[in-house]
Amino acid sequence: MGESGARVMLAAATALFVASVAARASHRANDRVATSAPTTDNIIPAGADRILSAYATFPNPTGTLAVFNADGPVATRGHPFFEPLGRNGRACVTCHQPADAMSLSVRSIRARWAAAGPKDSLFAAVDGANCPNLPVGQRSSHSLLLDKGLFRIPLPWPPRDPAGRAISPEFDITVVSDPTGCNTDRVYGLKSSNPHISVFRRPRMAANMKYVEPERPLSLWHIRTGEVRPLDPATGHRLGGNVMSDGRAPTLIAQMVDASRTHMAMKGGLSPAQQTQVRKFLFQVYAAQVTDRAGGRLDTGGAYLGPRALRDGKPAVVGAYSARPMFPEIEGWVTQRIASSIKWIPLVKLPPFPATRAGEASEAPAQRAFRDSVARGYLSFMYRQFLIRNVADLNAFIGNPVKQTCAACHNMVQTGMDVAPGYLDLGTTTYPTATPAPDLPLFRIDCHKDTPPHPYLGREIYTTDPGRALITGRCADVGKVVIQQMRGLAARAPYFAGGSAQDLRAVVNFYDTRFRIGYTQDEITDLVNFMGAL
Amino acid sequence: MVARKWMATLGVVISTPALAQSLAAPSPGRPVSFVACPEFRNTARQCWLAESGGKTYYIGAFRIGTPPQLLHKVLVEGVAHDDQSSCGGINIDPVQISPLPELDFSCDAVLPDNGTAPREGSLFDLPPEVLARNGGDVPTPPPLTKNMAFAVTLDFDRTVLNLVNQAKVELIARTIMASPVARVIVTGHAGQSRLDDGSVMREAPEVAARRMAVVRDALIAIGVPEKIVDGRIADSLPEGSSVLGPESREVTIDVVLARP
Repeated sequence: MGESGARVMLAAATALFVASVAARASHRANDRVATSAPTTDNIIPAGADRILSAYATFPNPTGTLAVFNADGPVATRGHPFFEPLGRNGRACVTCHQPADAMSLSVRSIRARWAAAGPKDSLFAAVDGANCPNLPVGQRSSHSLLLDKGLFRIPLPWPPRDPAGRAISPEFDITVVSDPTGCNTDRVYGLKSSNPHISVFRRPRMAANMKYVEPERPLSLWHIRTGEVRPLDPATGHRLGGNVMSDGRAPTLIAQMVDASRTHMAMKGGLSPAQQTQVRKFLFQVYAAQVTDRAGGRLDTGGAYLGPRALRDGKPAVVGAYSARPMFPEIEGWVTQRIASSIKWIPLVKLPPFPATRAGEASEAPAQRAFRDSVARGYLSFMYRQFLIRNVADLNAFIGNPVKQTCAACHNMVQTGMDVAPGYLDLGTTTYPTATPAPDLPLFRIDCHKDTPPHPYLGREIYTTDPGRALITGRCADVGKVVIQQMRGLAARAPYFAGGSAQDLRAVVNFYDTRFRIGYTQDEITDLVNFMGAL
Repeated sequence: MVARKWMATLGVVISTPALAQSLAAPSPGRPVSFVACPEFRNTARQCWLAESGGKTYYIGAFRIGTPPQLLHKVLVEGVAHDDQSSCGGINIDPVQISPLPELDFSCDAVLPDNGTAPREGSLFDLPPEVLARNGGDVPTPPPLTKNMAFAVTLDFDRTVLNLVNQAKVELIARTIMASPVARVIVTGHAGQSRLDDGSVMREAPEVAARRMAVVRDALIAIGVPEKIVDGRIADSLPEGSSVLGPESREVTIDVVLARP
């Protein structure tokens, strides 16, 4: 075993221990969420004949999510987002459910399995099974979808450029472990006649799209990689690059065409008219949490959280601490009493806050505690400094390490996406920092000697998902994914592209361990409440 | 001449030696060039230090662009001022930092705040011009009236355009697009640097082609017509060449006007 292999094993053992500690510690937060049993009541099946109202609310474990159609109610019958247009009975809505913040939670996936089993097209073998060759109808064939909300994404190897030509990759890839059997399969695997690599990823949120694909991104450049952002041939605008985790489809239109051909098995994909209709729908639908079971409405007491504020916001605006707050909807809950109570060191001097918030005197104790907690979590997100290390490409751009806050990466106002945009290797899928995942394939990446290595992992890398590198073929891109938006989180667990965080507490625990931040349990709870309120 | 002055103001390097010399302000101090592990001092301003020849040098604070990297040695090139210090190290100003690509696990020093640096403030914020722009357009530069040569200097053994070089390349591209240009010749160079101990570090030869491609592709992506852009790779510098330091690792952009 080489030095890298030993590091991986040591890290895996350490991470298992940390995970077991974290699981025990997470009981406090989970006390609040383990309530109603999941049902399929709010699931919209493909081909349903319904009206999605202009302002629809859906319960989730910590409160209520609202889906706001800014252009008014939407009839699902005949609408290409809701109609099964391919050969497997799926529609876009199959994996982008309004009740799940236009994504998909494991909670609702399990409810659908309990209700219909493999007859629900969600479990189509093409990507709703761990591998298409597995026995239909057995839970074990769909374990990654049922356990982590992961869909199989087969990507060609070697990668292809936009014109379909093979790219000469800078690295060799070896399948070290293949629990699904798909990467070593004769038909679907890396050594098949049509070589593919199967990785497993969560579906992204298909709402608040004006932030995901803004007409005018911040700059001409991918400022961290030094490349010029490509032009969208349809609009002539520079592309923001935040649509997909690996950037393989640069625009929403390209994504939906690709998805209709692959996930929906639609020959030829969506027609131009259908593309236009789906895009129009997605650019007017907003989703965000609107109530909390303990804290009540999230748009009162000086705060104005919820999807309407997203409709009214300006996209691609980079946050700049007190000069430009990251989530202005929450600022009204922050008081001087709360700001004075923090025990950590802020990166910059906190601005003055009012002595009280609107209606504070009449708040019930639970509501007051919740609002205080969200406000503290928000301040921590914005201002609590810690050393960020070994994150490609962030640290190459601003120093390794760099003393920063959560908002260094989650820097787009109102969404927490990365304006830059964010091809980052945070270590969620690369070892030694990734949470051990024996149910996922493990790949070894060997970078060629004459190419630039990964800046912090070198030339021999172990990963469950090489991320952007499967598109570019670059060694330095191994593990990089684009940061997704932070809205509607309470409705769509689990988290991270590989579903490695079962709940928001696991998200915070990952960063706490990754960057040795030293959060207290109360601080973690505050951050969980803050994120859950978005 | 007006165009030259305007571009020089915005930091565009003009590769005519005489003109570059005339623009350079005299600077006291002694030139230094060494490779060392960077050390991060955990102060409010996030000091970077490096040791060479028994001396500790201050090589900068928080910066956007090409900052030092733990887990990587850095090539430090600049002018040391022994009578000036910051954060417990001798100032190097100007200073050019090139993190070397390969990992070096011995470079992992995080030093505590020892009170040698200012405690006030933090340096993180996007530059005001970036914040103010926020998606806006850059003003169109004046057209060239005669053939012009530009140069973009890159970090040792690297091909990434940092923030400073992005601004340079964008300005060059927009200048070309505003001018009656017949041909643009982009030439990548692989260079070398002489260290204080007398040894010479040479860049990998393949870096020249990558640099050329990076700048050529950027010019075209910004809007320079592909048909007028010609990419070339400079011959490797011969052993003993006197061309040393940052200027040896340039991408040069020669602009030939249609109506000189």
